[in-house]
Amino acid sequence: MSICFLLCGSQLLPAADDEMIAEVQPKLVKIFGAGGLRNLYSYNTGFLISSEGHIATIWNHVLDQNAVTVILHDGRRYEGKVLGAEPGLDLAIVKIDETQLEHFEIGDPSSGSPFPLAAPGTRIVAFSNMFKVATGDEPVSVIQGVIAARTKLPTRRGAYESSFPGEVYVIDAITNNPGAGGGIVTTVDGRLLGMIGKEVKNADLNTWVNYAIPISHLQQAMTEIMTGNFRSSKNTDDDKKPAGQVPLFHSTDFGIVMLPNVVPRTPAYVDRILPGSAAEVAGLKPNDLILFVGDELIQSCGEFLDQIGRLESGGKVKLIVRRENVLITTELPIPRKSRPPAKPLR
Amino acid sequence: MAMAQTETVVVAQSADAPTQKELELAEERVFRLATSLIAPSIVRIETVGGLDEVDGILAVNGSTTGVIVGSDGWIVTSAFNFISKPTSILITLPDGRKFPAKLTATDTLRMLALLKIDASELPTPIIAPPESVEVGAWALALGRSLSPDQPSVSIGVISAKERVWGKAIQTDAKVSPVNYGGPLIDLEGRMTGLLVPLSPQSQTVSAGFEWYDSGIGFAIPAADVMQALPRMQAGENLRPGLMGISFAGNDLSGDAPVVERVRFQSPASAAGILVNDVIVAADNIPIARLGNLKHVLGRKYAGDQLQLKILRKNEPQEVTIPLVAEIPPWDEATAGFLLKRNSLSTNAESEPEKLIVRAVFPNSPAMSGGLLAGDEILAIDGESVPTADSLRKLLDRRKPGDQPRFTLRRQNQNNQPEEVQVSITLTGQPLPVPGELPAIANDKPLSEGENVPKAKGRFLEKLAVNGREYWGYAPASATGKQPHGLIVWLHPSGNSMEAAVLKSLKVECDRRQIMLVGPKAEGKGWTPEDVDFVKALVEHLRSEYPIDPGRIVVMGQTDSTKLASFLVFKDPAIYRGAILVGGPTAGQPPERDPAARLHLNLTIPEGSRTADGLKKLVESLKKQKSAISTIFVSGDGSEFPDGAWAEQIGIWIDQIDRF
Repeated sequence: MSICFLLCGSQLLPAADDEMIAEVQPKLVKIFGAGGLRNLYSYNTGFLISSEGHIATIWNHVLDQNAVTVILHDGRRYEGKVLGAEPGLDLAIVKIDETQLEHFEIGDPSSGSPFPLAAPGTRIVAFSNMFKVATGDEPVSVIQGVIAARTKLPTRRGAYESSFPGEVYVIDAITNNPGAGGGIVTTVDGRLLGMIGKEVKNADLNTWVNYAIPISHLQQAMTEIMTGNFRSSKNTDDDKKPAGQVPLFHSTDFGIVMLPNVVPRTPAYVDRILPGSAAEVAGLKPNDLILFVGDELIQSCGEFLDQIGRLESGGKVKLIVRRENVLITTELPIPRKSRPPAKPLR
Repeated sequence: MAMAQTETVVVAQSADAPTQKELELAEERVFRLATSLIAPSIVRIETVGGLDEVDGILAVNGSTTGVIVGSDGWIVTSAFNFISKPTSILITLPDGRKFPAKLTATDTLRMLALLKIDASELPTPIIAPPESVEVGAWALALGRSLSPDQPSVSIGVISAKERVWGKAIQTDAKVSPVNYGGPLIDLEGRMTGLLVPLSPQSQTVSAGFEWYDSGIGFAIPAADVMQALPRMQAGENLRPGLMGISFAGNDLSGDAPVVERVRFQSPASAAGILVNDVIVAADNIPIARLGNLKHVLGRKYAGDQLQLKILRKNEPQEVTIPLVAEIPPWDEATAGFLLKRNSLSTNAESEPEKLIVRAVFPNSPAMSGGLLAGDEILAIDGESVPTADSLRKLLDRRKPGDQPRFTLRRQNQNNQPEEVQVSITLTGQPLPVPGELPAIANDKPLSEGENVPKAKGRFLEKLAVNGREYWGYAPASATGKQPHGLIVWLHPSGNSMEAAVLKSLKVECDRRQIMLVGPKAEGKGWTPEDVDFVKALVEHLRSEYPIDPGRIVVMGQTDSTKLASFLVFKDPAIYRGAILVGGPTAGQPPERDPAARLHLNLTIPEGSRTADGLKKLVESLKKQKSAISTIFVSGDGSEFPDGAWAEQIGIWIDQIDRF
């Protein structure tokens, strides 16, 4: 415990020192663009990723007009053009005409990532143009906190509006502010960790989420857009089925008849098991409450049918049900079935 | 902390003192180490089914957090996580095993919930001793909502202790549904508290949610959680402890705790607390202000005991009060009869009272029991009743459904007095007001030729103390000694309606011995100062006329009904009831009890826009066992009602001192 005694005296020391902040600030820019209508804010934050004026920022409505105003930390003002964007990563690259700018080195992604992931509990410093408090030659605002968790934002049921499907840093500093998107999170010694994400709410918990996208996820797209090798948006969201997809399976394909789905949160109770079905072989019974399909928690009858509908032909599916007060794990074979051709959307 | 400071000095003096960077990195390591020490005890909770919205906010239906507090499957968490009343609760242990959980008990004082799973040999956290928790020390708020693999971490300091009336530790670490139910820990990985939403202002289960992630977060001290555990494990739901006292004043940091009311059938009443007692200590902690007392009481559960030191007429007394979870509303037991009123006299005590039954209400318990007008009441269940007051006190001790035996003196067929016994099954509130009630016969009919005092009739006067104007009407009988009722008419804004009100009620005033008085608002409408004006006016009238303190009522129409009810709710010792014509009450009436025997009369104009709202109000008042009567009139409520309405008002005033 000697470490604890050492630390108790150091509580009031700042987490990051002036030098580090002075080094990082010139690499951040304030971006002003579209918005203002419908009470949308019209400003973002961005950070320089090349000496020739490449700026990474968040892909949102502020960039709608393609041309934006970029103001450097020292007040120099430029017109910026949107060079390219990867909506799947919430990333856009803006370019200004200038040279010899201080910037973050993004590096060559193929030569291994220079951005190792930080663990929860790591202290961070966030830099952003939140609420456009900084004007003219004022540097952007700095706040401090720690990495709270590294987790995927669950996109199931549209709980988050973010389109970013990978693991993000959730941070305990309040970065979820207008204009903070496109700002950065660094370690206390100024190493770049992530780009501050959109303002999104976690509908499961009914709270705003403060998160940053790890730079290692953005590195490749950044390089590609800068070098002009960028290919059109990839479908990075493997979980999502294209809209309009007809569910391939129904619970009756497994021999499970559910209680009628009367209200949005009708729990997923089994009404009947069809004789001779896979469900009967697996030992499922009427009144079993279905709680998990694979690792997905099932909160309602509707969610169960939705999950069943998404199963891929062949293989097995794990179902966890509650009977009386015991959890029972079962495995059902998924029948072979071919998917009808999806109707083209009009 | 003293020890830590000493260490720091040593470090600073040492030649190879760590640099700031090294210290910071070491700190981060300690954060992670502390988290990993307690992580095996932090579980993920998932719920299935339940409501979508509670208290106007969306119910949390994502994963939440709990802490193992008993190795045989006990998990404590925040009650907030179950406000949607889920049908199923599931626990995922850090090793991946899943269990269905049973909600064993909730604690609505500290907003905790205790879950049980069928597992054993689970790891439990080390509990930080209360004395080790210091303001300014590092505090880590952990949760399992975001990721099942690793607890989420938010770091801050202990901001304060003994917050929210002594219940909670405050921290500036971010506290939200992400970690409600999770632990607050110190740098040694010990649990200092359990994270919950709390608010000093409100007691609802979602109170404090609005402060999520604001830097104002709360945790119930771990030692208190562990102390509550045995009772909750036994399945007992813990609730805030009540004693049943309300205090004069409401400035928590200013007013001294002087007892204003003691709730009937409350622990405080059973312990013998009296009005005007001053509380000077609670559980041996000195009490000077209301806030001090709330701080002590705020930590206590129903079932706990509170030791009070009080000053009664400057004499110190000590009482122990067993706290309860709820004090039932007082349902006044009623029989349905009126006594003849004795004349008001300065030396009433010297004259023995006779309790003669004046009227028995039709279809009332008194009528079914066989009570007759003219009976003289001698005793209840063998206890003699010398005065109307003692009769009331005896009946107040009975509940609806009780069957007290009345000993009566009654004229038999031969006109000889004989003793009769009747049993009356008492009923609760509201007791229907009879449709008819014989008017009061004057002691002595006044006839010509006798010394008839001059009837005062209608008058217009100014109150001497403040020069404020009022009009009034005194029936001829008001010059005698028969006690009179009093209606204080508070006119709606901008219109005194003097003529309409007098025209409507004059006949009833004469018939039922009621005075009418109409203070006038200055300028456009009533102001808060008028509360004192009305009070002074009532005092003045009581000194001039034979006014029965048990039948003083305030009447308002449309926009003045709120003020009328406000006066009555505020001073139940002065006003016995309110007549509200086409308008609502000002909030909820005080709990009805023998010291606040309020009667409400609501007139609902069927054609008014407020009719539906007023009907709902009547229903809610009935649930609280209020003595409430309703009169429906036609029209939209713009006219002042008269005719049959006035007759019913007359009867209503004439019976509010019923038994």
